Formats: sequence, C-alpha cells, structure tokens
Amino acid sequence: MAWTVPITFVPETILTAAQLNLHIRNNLNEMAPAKASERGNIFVTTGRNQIRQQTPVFDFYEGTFDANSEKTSSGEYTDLKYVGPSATTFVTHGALISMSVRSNNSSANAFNIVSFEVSKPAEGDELNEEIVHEATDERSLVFEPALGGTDSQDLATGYTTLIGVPEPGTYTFRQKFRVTAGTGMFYRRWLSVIPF
Amino acid sequence: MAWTSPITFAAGEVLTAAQLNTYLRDNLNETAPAKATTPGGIFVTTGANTIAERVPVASQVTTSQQTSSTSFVDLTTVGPAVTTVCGSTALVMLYAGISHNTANFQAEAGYAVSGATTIAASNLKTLQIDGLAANDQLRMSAIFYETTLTPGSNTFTMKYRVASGGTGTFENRQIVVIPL
Repeated sequence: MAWTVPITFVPETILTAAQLNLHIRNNLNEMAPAKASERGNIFVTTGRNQIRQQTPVFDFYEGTFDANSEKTSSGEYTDLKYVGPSATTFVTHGALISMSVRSNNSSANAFNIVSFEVSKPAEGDELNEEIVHEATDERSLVFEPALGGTDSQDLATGYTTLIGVPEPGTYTFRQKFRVTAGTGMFYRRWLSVIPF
Repeated sequence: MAWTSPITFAAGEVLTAAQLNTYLRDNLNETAPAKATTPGGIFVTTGANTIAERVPVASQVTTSQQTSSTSFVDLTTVGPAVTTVCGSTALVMLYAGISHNTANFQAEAGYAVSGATTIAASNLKTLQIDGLAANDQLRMSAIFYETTLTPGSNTFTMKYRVASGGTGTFENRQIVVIPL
C-alpha cells in the first residue's frame, strides 16, 4: 500500500468500495497510529508521502578507571577488550550520534581519541560486516590530559554529530579508540543513536 | 486547509460531498504522510491540531584556524553554518577542538542566528576552554535549546573569540541543528 492524494468528493457521485479502500483505508494505514508498534519510537520521513517508525538505541559500558583490559597504546583506531559500546538500528537517511567517555593517559600531554565506526552486513554475506564510515579524528572525542602517570587527569566529556548513510538499511555504530602516546584508559563509555 | 475535529456519524443521515471533503479529504491532507517530502525529516507540532516536517542539518569545517579577537568573529573559513526552517525553538549542537597559545587563558566557540531571526553570539552559549597548559587542546561538544526564534528560515553560524588576549585555535568545527 502507498499514500494516495485524497479524492475530492463530488455531490451525487456514488462512492465505490474501491474508492473508499484506496482513499480512506489505505491512507489511514499509512499514518503514524497504524504504523506505531512499540513505545519510545519516533516517526521520520522516508520519501514523498512516506513515514516510518524508527527506533533510538544506546549502549553503555561502565568499566573501572584502573581496568587494564580497557587500555590501549595503539596509534591506530582499535577495539578494547569490551568491544564497543555498539548499537544497531535501521537508518533511512542519517542518524544523530552522541558519545560520552571518561579517560586518562599514562603520559603527560598525550592525546586519547574516541571515534565511531559505522558498518552494515556485507552484501551476500550477512555474517561479515562492510564498513560504511571508518573511525576518524574528524568525528571524535579528544582528551589531552596535562598530567600523566598514576596521577593522570581523569576527564569526561561528550560529542554529538549528525551523519548520513548511503542507503536505507540496518547499521551498527561502534566506538573505537586510539592514543598519540602513552597508554590510554577509557571507561564509562556511552553511545546513543537516534535514526532519521 | 486545516484540521477539523471529525464528525460523529449518525444513523440515517446522508453524508454530503462537502462533509466528506472537510472530514476526510482535508483532514487526511493534514497528516504526516501528506506532508512528508524530505527523507530524514521529523514531524513536530506547530499548534493545536497542526504538524510540520522539519529537517535536521549539519555542517563541518575541519581546517585549523585562529583568532585573537575578544569579540565574536568569523574565522578565515566562515562557519560552519546551516540553514533550515524552524518553528520558535531548535536544538543547536556545537563541537570543536579548542586550544590557546597562553596557559590558563580562555577561548570560546559559540553561534549566531540570522535570517528570520537575528541573535548575536553570546558567551552564555559557547564551548569554552580555560585552565589548560599552553597549546593543549580539548575537543568537546554541547547542546543548547534555542527558544527565541522567529519561525521561518534561519541560518546558524559558528563564531569565535578569546576572552582576554592571546590567540585561540579552533579545528574540526561542527554544528548540528534539529529544528522544532
């Protein structure tokens, strides 16, 4: 079914069942109450005369400030022992991404950097993922603690951005991590995605 | 056309074309599918029984640039800036990497509004650094709820300053606006 521009009714014209089904039944079934299935969702435009229910998602990893498993010395974006946080949802056009992380580093004036990667199931191979957007410094949280070592400053901050996708589909958003020097620790990691 | 509270049908009454046009055609034309035009748009209420499509927008300038101005100004690359149709409110999100060439000096990134509304950049709505070592960078974001907009097409442009001297550096500047 699709939306049809509502007919203009004319006096003394007999309405047929086909007209009522097309202009009333089918159109009512294109509206938000007909498409609403569970609470907490939003409605977005997916094309001319088309709306869709979309599901905001989030993930959180708490960790602790001294958990060695959640540290990295990698200069390239990498996963930590707890991969993520990550969240998967259907996206039509773009998504609002919000991240918040708490972080410290063993070396004074080293950068700790948190970005996110966007992926979707590889075409014809749903067990593997195809990267749509790589993690990048241009979309990242950056910490530069002035102190390092055991007394390293602990900073917490957030980052929000709007990112597009190449086509409607189910996408996974996953945090990635790197440092410019020393060993960075990342905990209390939040990721939320509002799909449009 | 506007929304009309649906009629209560009564047994034995003859429906007229005028009634069907008012209660079916015109009301259907006030619903979201009838108003949906742009993928990625959202729907907001604009008053009693009225809704409108709004389109979230974003823009980014990655180039690192500087200012020594103590009044809010543009950098060599103006912006980033976005234009979108708003009601009287919008969510404005700013993001930037900010540093200052002098320890413990302040540098700020805010935004101004032009178009249907004129609002100058204000230090009440900024990203700000202070207390950092010279040339240390903090990359951060913040969300502001703008409530004094004039409905219509509005342009949101990032602006920059230092509080009391020295030179502030701004990079990876981004603005996101969700019009309501």
